[in-house]
Amino acid sequence: MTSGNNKKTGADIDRIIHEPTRYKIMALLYVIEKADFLFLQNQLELTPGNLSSHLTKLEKVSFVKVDKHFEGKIPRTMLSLTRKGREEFAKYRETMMQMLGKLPEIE
Amino acid sequence: MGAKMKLNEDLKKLEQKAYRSYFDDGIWDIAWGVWLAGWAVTPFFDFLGISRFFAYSIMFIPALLLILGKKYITVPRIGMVHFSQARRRKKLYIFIAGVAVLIVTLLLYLLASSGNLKESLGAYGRILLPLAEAFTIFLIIGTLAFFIDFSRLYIYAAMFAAGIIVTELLYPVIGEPWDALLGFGLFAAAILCYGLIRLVSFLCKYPHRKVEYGNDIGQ
Repeated sequence: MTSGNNKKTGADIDRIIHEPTRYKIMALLYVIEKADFLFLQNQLELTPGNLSSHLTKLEKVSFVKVDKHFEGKIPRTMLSLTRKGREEFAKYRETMMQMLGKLPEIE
Repeated sequence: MGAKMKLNEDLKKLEQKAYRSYFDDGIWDIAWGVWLAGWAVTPFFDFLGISRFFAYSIMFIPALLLILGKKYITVPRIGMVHFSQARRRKKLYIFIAGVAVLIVTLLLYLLASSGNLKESLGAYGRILLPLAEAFTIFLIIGTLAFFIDFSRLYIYAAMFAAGIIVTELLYPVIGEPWDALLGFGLFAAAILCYGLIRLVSFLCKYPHRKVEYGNDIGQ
């Protein structure tokens, strides 16, 4: 929901991205092109199960693209943000920045 | 504006952290240590009457170490990542700077081993030539460090440059090939030790995974 003067409100926040772990996953995938499961797990210091469940949620809403393939005999799961995921992440950041910008300075 | 800048800065830091994690394995350090060690031992080839072509081929060992180390040690442990297009564009500059390092090193090696130029330049040549060599090597390796975004390489560039000067200072005292062995060898040993410590701590922190996780995503 956006007010008349285009100022964002709490209702504009994407709840999927707003969860801290998912935000971290989205932020990391936003600044790189793609990475495999192991890289994300090491960078974000998450357990495989935790990362897997968050990625499943992000894949369901088409924010993350999961590409499973074999490199020789080694299975590899490459992950990247979809176009929609990139746009939604940028929108989320914009919303947060506007909301944080409206907060008064602490003396 | 302040919040926007802070958030953009956070993203930049996140990307840098991810990128720099590829240097945590110590393989770059070991490769530069070996490179410098090559400078320390190559004068021995002349001393022992072994062909110089063998000595030149030693200079390619660090490149081989980097390629094989990243493939068989780093990627299986910390995973694979493709960085942004801006980072990948830099690869061309890295390649050019890398080739420049190789060519300049070989030229300097030829220059150092001939000795005729120094003699013809007289007393000033003995001082100015090593300084010019040290400055050139620092400039080129420093450029490589800038493009790779690997800050320890600035220190290694300085150590390499210092090695040239120390070798030159030691020459009248202990002569060839011991001057290079001490001049470069001490710096090479320091870099190699540091690289090995980093490698061991990397191997302990990231054990090799036999199972590929992530196959259950979406299930």
